[in-house]
Amino acid sequence: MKPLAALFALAALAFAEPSPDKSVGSKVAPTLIDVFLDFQCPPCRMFHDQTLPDVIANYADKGKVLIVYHDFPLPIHNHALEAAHWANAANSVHKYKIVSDALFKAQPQWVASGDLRSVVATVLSPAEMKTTEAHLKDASIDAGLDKDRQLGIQMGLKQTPTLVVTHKLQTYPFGGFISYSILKQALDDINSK
Amino acid sequence: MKWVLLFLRVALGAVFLYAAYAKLIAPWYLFAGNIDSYQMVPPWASEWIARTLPAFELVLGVVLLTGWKLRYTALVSGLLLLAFWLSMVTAYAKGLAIDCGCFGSGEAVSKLTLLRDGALVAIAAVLWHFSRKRHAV
Repeated sequence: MKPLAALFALAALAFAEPSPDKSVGSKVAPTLIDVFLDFQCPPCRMFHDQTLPDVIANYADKGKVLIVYHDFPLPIHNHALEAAHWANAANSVHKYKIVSDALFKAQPQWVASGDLRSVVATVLSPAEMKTTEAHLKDASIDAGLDKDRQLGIQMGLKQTPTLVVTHKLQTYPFGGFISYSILKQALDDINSK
Repeated sequence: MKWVLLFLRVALGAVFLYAAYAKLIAPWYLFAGNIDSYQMVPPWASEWIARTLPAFELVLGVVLLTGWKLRYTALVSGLLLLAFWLSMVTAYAKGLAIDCGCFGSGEAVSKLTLLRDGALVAIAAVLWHFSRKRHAV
């Protein structure tokens, strides 16, 4: 990554105000974890299901880290962008995380069928579904996704999942699936600095 | 031929030294994360490899540069590089877009990394083959 681009990206990460629905943990936590995910990528699903719950329970919920989610749909995944649209549209009813969970849980099904709507409908009420569908084509969603994508590009992202851990303006990038036991040791070491 | 073999031995040693250096200057868990992303070994093995491999690469690099016991060091280097290459081929075939972890973080597994690692395996094989015929190159 070019030094100037890295500096801007780091500043963006450190000072951006995260959406409360796309973040977990205390805003005054000493460590920030920016998580870049693609709903269609299998390692992202593994990370979301196997690693993230422990990080949330043991670090975010205890005020040690702030986790901020970023959507980074890869062009090689034919339904990833649409899935990101559904999750972000659900943000209009404050259900981004619930829809994200549902999308990762049912990933093999909708990747095969392409039917995202029915997956989202399983976790939203009819009224929420109506609002979400009304927001699907919002320009603000495209703008938000583009912002995440630009941030990822500035950070030199080549893959998903990618975690960028920032502590005292020092960044630690983790590309690809990472297990909780290794991430835990990393976070403990980083937080002790 | 003698000078070609000398060049190959020094080049291979330098590659191992650089690989070790790039990993040792970063926290071990960044490399452990790279290994984890291959999804081939359990987390405890990723940690063990991340903590030991850079030092092993450092020793291999130094020994290759000196030419000591080349017959054995070329064989060990070749087998290690072959293991790396097979891991990368498997990840590439699975469609995993991951860091190769070859020289620290930041380089994705690609056709280029496969080609480069394959060439290094070939160099180690050449060194091993010729070192069987003479004591040192």
